[in-house]
Amino acid sequence: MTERPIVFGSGCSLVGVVTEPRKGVRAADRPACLFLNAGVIHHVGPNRLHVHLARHLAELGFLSFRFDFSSRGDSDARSDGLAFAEATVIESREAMDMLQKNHGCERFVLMGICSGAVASFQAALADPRVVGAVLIDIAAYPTTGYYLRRYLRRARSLESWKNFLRRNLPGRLLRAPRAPEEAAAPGEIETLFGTFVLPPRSEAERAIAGLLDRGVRLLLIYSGSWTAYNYRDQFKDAFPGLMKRGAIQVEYYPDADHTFTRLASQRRLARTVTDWLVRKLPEAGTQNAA
Amino acid sequence: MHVFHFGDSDKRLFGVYHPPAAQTPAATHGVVVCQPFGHEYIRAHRTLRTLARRLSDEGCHTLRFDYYGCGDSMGSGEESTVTQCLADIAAAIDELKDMAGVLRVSLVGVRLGGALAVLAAARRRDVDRIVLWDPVIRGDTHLQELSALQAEWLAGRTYMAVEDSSEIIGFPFSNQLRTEIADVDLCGVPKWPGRQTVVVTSLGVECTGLREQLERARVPSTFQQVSSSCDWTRPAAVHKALLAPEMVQQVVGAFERRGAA
Repeated sequence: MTERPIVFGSGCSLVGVVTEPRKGVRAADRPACLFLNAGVIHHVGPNRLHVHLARHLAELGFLSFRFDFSSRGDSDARSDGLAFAEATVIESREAMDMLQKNHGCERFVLMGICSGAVASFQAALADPRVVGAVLIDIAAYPTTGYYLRRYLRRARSLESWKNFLRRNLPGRLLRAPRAPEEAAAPGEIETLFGTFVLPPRSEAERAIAGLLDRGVRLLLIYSGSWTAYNYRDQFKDAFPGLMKRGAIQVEYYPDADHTFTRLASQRRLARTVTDWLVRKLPEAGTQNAA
Repeated sequence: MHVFHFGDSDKRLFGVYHPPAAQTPAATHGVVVCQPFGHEYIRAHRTLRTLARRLSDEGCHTLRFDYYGCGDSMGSGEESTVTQCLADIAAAIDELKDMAGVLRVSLVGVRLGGALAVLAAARRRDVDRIVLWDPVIRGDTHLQELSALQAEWLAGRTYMAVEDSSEIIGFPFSNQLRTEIADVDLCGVPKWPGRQTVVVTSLGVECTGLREQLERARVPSTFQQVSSSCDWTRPAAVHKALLAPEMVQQVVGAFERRGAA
């Protein structure tokens, strides 16, 4: 395994690190992996997750690239005033251009957590070279099962009853609760940049279907602290037609937090991602590369 | 800005060199930034990049780097040790002197990086100024604070049992690392290094014993405190990016008007 820091980009200087398999392994035969910023965390990823994954993937023959979008991590700010959402697509494509030119990579898998998942999804829509995406704690659509679990948990929660009494009893018989750290209403996602409003379900379904039509495979992972998702089959219940097509794998880690802070959850995430890449991706998207 | 690897071939370190801004006179001063550790390293990253840029604007050759087993440097977190970090700081100083052609360097150390900066400087004679940002004074106290932070952070997350008691907020802390951190005591440094020491603290951070230590050592020193907190010990902030413009300003201030000193 070798690593090389790179400065690239046309709008400004973007910084990243290429991780290559050992000499003799032809990485261009497999899709290259791009790790996109999780919020404002720089390219090493939350708890250095991207570094661990990149090196593990290199042992399996995958080339990867972790880099910082403009105004993130080690990268400069753009001077053209481009909106961040647009810049992430342009800069992801520039990263792919650089890897194609320098390493002969023609197929790519994008991976991101939270806002990085949103950026991965948008870049996948924009670029036919993307054959797979690992989307962690991305948008989730509420279902009947979601609401049942949500209200059942609330009914079981002593704090919920205290809140109810606070709202309905005169005076301040109970102290005000502490502000929740990880709260998001259904239909909205709290990111480090503010609230991300979900597109309508039909719009999301059309976009995902378009990716599947292109042969793109998706791995969706939801953590237990992502309050917009609360049971394993929520995505399947929200999009039964999409799941039947067999190109989407969904994992639910109820015991993991949003940034996979536990070492055990980091190891489990790495296993899931690498297993998925090895089993599902080597052959995916060859029609695009042809 | 130049990103590169340096150090031993089997323990390559990731570095980012910020040359002096073009408009400044030819500078002869170098600054190595010694980063904090674990989750504090993640929190502080962008702010320390801003600091490095500001120092380069002041005419300093500035090098940020990741310790072995941290960030983009080679090695795993399980391999991190204080001994290795001190060797890494020495390698970074030598690298900056070599690439920038400077004879002496100053060190800016943040949190545990502050303690490491002092210990690394004590082993050599070419360190000019030491600027400490909320430095860890006693390693054993720091470990207690980290353990308490981990416990408090986990207390509200009943779904997250932690089987591995050696981890702290997402990073492994091996027995060797803990033992070596516990041995850190800046008040026990026999011969305080550097020509001058500047200590900058955020709201709520105390440097118990350090002022007396520096007075005993008769090292010219200044202590400054800003009015905002860096939230090092607040559980809700463990994954929040550090925004500390006042701290950056104070640290940069230690190098202002220095020019080509």
